[in-house]
Amino acid sequence: MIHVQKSDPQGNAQILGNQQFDVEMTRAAQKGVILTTEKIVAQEEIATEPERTAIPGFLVKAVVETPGGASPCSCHPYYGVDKDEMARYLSLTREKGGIGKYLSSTDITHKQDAVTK
Amino acid sequence: MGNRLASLPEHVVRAGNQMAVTLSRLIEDGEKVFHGVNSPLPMVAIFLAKKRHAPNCSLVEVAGSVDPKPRFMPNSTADPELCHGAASMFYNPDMYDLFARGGVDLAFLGAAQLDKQGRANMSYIGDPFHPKVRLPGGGGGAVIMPQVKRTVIWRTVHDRRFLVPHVDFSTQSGNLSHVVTPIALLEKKSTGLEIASVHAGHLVDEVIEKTGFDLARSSVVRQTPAPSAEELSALEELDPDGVRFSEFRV
Repeated sequence: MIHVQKSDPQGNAQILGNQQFDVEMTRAAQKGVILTTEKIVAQEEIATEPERTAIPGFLVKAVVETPGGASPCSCHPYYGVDKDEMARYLSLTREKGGIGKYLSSTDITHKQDAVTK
Repeated sequence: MGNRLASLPEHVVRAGNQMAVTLSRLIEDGEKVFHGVNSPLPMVAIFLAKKRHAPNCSLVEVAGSVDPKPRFMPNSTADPELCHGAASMFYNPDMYDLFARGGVDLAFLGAAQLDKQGRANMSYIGDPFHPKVRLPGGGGGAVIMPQVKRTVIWRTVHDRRFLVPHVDFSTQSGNLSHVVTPIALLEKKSTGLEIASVHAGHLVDEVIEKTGFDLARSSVVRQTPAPSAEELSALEELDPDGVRFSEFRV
């Protein structure tokens, strides 16, 4: 599962800023890739600069539009690391079951259902 | 209709259309498909499949574009028009990595010589040190054929110089599924290549006669379904200038 800044409904995705190992992981994913994306855009927009597409749609199983989906980590250039939120996450998840507490106490924006291919 | 089409002999038009639809029908919907360089017939066949029975197949062009939407059918499979409308580029290093992971379903490749067991020669004819013909080499074929799920070999001639008892050099082999020629569709079985079907206007005996290795003659040999009216009009729409005929010697 990879979070990107921009993808079309077929999963042709652009990554802005640094890529870390995201591109390699999409190639290695044996069962395919699930994308979360800051926004879904029309394929025509992506197709104006295909050489900027880091992940081709044929590797992608589903696309979920999730603005803020990388939070509390960063997503260049939209937001940086939220240090206070990160500290809250770390303290809650130190204990078993903490992830549930964290999720239920967090406002998770979820714009629409996954576009499943 | 372009000049090229108007001057083509009828048998070339018939063979080219039959080969294009026969190649196209070997593509299944959703597959990841690749073709080699200088491959106008497979290129047209893949676009035909996308237009008709396999809209969700992904074409990764040998020059790197994925699922382009060219405004015209280019003569060369390296034409920059094959980037038009593509939503991603998937360059050679990524493509070979995908082959190595078993992620490519179908590759269309050519061959200068091919034997019954599916060994293909793209290297040289004759003595290795003083070759009669120095061929261009296999490109990526030696890693593609063993790693892709299915290879289809195509050639616009069917004769004993192409289909030989022994290749002068085995450049590449493995996972051959079919061979498409102007007169027949051959299928690779565990015992080797055999006739799957013979194109309209040709005879089983002709196919056997023009093949340099033994083709077991099964009791019933089908005729390759001729291009339908819908397939022909789709071909005409996709490729009005007849790029699909460009590899035929006229």
